[in-house]
Amino acid sequence: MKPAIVVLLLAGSLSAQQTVAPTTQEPVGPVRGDNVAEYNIVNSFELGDRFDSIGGNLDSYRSQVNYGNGPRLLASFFSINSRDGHGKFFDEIVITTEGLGNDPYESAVLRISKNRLYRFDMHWRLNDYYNPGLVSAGQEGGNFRDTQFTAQDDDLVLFPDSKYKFFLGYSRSVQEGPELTATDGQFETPALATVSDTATFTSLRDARNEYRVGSELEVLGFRINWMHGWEDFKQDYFVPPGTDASGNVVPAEQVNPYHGTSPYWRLGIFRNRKRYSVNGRFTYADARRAFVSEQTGLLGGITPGTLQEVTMGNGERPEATGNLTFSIFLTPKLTFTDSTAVYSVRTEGNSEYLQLNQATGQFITQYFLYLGIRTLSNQAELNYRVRKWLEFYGGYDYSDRFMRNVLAQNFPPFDQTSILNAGVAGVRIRPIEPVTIVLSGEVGHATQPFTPKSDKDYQALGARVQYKRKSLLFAAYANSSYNNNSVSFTAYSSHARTYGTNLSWTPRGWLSFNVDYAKMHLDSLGGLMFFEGGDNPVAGYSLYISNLHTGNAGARFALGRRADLYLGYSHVQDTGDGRSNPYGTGFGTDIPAFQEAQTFPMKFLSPVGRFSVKINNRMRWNVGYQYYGYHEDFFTGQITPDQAYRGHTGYSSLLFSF
Amino acid sequence: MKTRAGVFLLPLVFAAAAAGAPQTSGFVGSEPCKTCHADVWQKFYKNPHYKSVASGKEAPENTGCESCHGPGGAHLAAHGGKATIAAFSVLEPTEILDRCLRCHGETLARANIRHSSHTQAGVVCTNCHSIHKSPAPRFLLANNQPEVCYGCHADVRSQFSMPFKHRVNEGALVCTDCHNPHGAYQPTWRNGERPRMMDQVMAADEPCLKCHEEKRGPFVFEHPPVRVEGCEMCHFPHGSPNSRLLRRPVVFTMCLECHNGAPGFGRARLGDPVTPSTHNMRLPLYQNCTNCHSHIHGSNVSVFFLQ
Repeated sequence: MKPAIVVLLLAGSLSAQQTVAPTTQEPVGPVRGDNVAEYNIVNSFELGDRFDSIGGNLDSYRSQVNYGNGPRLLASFFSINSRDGHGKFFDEIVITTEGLGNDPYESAVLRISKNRLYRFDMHWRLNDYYNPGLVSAGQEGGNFRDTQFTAQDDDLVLFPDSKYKFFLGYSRSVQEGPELTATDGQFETPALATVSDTATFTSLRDARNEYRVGSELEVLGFRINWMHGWEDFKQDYFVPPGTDASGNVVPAEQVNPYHGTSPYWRLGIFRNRKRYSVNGRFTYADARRAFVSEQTGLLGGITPGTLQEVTMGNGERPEATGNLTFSIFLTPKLTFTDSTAVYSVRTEGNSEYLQLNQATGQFITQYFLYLGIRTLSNQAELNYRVRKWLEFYGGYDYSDRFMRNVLAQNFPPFDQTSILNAGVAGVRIRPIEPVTIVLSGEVGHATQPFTPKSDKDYQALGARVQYKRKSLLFAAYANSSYNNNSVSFTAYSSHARTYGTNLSWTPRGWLSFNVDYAKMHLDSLGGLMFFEGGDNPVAGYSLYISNLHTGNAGARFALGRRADLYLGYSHVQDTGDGRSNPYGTGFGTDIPAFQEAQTFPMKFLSPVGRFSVKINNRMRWNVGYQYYGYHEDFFTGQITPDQAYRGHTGYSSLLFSF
Repeated sequence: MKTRAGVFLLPLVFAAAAAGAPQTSGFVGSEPCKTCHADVWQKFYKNPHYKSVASGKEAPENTGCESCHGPGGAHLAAHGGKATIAAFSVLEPTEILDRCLRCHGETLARANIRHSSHTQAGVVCTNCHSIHKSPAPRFLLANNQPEVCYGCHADVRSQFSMPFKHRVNEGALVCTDCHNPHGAYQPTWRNGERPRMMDQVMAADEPCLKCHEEKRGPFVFEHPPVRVEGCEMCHFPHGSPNSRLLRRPVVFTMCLECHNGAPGFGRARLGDPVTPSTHNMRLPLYQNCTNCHSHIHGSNVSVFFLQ
């Protein structure tokens, strides 16, 4: 296995990464670090400055890339390890950071541990991006966001090497930014659907806090792991009074605290023996939400100030699962595994709607639309290693999903059941030492798919051939996933095929290559029923075709003992169905509106170059450049500007070690 | 070199035997290994497995080199050689799995590793983890995530290179935020059989909900496919040429593929509701369904997800 690892390491050193900075895996400082007292310290910091020059649609660039100007700590690494494994307060501290200070994507990882006593892990990240609310080719849609998302996970394990462990955890995430919300809505049931809502952007804040406590222990030869957690969620937004772009008066005030808590329990049991292993996992979660919405203002054309509506309620979604898996090692070459799972969830609760009209008044109570799902599934698999170079597996999957819906209060429940039968099989062959061939397949049939797009009669096939020898790794693969779901007036079928190849090669210590290419084909035929400017529904069909070609290439050159040069290129291109204009020439439906929609040629490319030179044993200077180019072939400019952009980005940094 | 080392170490073997060491089991401890494998030993104190050595209390079969590579007596006597010890470079995948799971098997995250897609494809521990030469700060990975995964899943690298994607290449996420590479439990969405390597959060939910918590609900008005079929019903989770990771470039065609009134589907099997006559699909206003149906994942106020 060593050659495989060498290839992975070398390939990683040139990894065709998509961002030009930070400089990765270039050595700086003493190889083995510095010894201080009974500890060993390794550190590196990369301080740099990014610069960019963007042409075309800046919003589109910020949505997809978003790297800007200015100084930042591009990356850092710090580790301290006790050399004898008996540190006084800790045996290991590792801190890694990326993009701190100014990058739109920042992260920090911290681990502190003392052997046998404790281990603490923290992972913090920030994701800052702009989204112009696009939902289609150049057209605006909902959920406009200029969003900043931060998340942090903290986990403490006490006595990590003991038979009796204790877990404490805390996670927090906050998402802030504007969101499109229809504030002029009325409470709607199918019978009361008469409103015309106006869409308004408002400032929104989602906050999640999760607390965890648990332990692991041994009872009667079984390892038992349990955890209890609470997840609190709160969403707030506020809309000041005013008018929207269409001149409609928006509510004078809307405060919508939406909050809830979701306590959950999880229990796992394990037992591994020479001839068998058994494990189970059982969970129970009860998501609870409460909300209140209040609007005052012009609603439904009524005189301002005469109408007030309040919506409030509580929702509950108890969710229980059970998983039990047995593996029996019949012989050293033959393993049988059976896995059974049960899943049960129901959504229920109450909500009330109060619409206060000064003249008439109105009060309606609306209950949740009940949705219950119960799934029972079983997977049985047999693995047989015939020879050292030949191994088979095959299995049978059965799933029974029962759903109950209550579509309106006092309506009888509606039940439906879908049964899935599927077979899986595969073979792994190693005809000669460096070559591995893996073939896999799955064929299934579901009796009652939930939507016309859901899996009904499907098959998924895969093949992969890999050659791995010393510093060379070459692989080629092909996957297909077909689904047919016939309905009465039309049929839905989806064909997805992926072909690809990748190569990693390090012919010399100073030279390495990494190349991959994939073609992803997707065609979906679906039945459509819609209205086109009149009262008569139009029946038609859509044929969506996408032919995505993607390629990444990278080459790393070590120039002497001091300098490294990396050159890379990434290319994504959807050639669509081959048409030369948005309206097609007979592909898909004959209705122009759908022809335009059904294929979307585009191109996204990004060449990158990075140069790193060693100044001395503890310092390197790095410089890099990356170009981003995005172009849509069939941009029609109906609502928003052309989304194409050209981004020149670069950086210069010092990577140093104290 | 090996011959000389063997000559040098031979007295140690005899010394151990004379001292009553467990020669019958062939364990000789980690000390003799340092002579030939100095490169491994010099930084082994940074390895999580060093704890077994530092402890000084573990049984020979659970201590240091021999806890993974097995008894070293024969290896020592033969002056090295891969045939005389458990050398992972020549072990069968199942043997590698057995050795690692001897200590790492009974955990929640690895409970289903033996029938995971990785194991079925012959991908076992040392394909992703480098025990002695890991450049990654945690988990002894053979490379940083996601490069480890890209080594085989080159098509996924392509997906994360799309203009619209989750920021994996930018370092904001890693593959294991959503996937359990050691084998997962059966999903609670779809029909419970696929996808196979997805992790679950907050007990048993789709991993998307850990970050996209506002879409979890429960809502007064649920959009049932979100709960029944999962997020991938409408989204490509890795990356997409379409904004918002959608499966189609224009929203209305995607929505109409279900909302076309075809009988036999939906909550009442009467067909998912067909768009009303007020929606002229020739107009861009109506072609962007989420212009108005902005809370398409679920709403507490509007049955049509308008707010």
